[in-house]
Amino acid sequence: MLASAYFAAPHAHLATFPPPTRAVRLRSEHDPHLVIDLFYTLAQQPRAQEPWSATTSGYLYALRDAQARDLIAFHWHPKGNSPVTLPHVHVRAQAGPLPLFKAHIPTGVIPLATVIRFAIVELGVQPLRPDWRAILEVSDEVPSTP
Amino acid sequence: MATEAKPTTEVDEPSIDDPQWASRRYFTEEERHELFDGLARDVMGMSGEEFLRRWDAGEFHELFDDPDHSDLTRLVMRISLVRQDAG
Repeated sequence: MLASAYFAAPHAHLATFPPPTRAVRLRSEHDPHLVIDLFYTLAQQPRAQEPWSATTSGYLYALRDAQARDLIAFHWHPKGNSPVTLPHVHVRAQAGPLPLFKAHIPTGVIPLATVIRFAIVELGVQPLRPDWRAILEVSDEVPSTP
Repeated sequence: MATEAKPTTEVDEPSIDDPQWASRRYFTEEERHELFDGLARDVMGMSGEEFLRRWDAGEFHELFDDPDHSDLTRLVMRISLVRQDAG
């Protein structure tokens, strides 16, 4: 590469899918819906083989029901007013006497590919592409700032 | 202010090869404010400017990170897109 027309933004970028207040209906007998907000930053690395690198800086991935209620929600919002700034998951479930949904169950930083794989492998969502495993393996390599 | 979950508008059978989803673009600052304003109206029933003023005054903070108010959380996470000092 001889030149790049991109200039790093002073704030994080947001990849959102689908547009806000909508959700993608996934192909599964359980009828889950998916919401993705992925915040990331781009940094130029002049001497690296790849001149630009992307780093995840926050996310909200939610699997919802048809009534738009979050069933499983992976959150990482280092900024904001929540006392919980580390990655966590909310699960609309009761574990014996323990109400889990309002709890912030700690996780590591969850790559988007991991959530997609979880939906396919564990929740029975039908992938659109036969090569989904290979695509998700590549996506697993995107780093994050802890 | 209630922020009950709204019925989801579904996107059936999306295809990643569909140009609607494959296309990408970068928004200008003005467009980012317009998007934030539209989302604030959809989620909270108020303009983006009013939401930011009331948020700054401490309203709605108890709903942030509440999974029953996920769209509010999504809105708050977007503040950084319209306010550079928000980080």
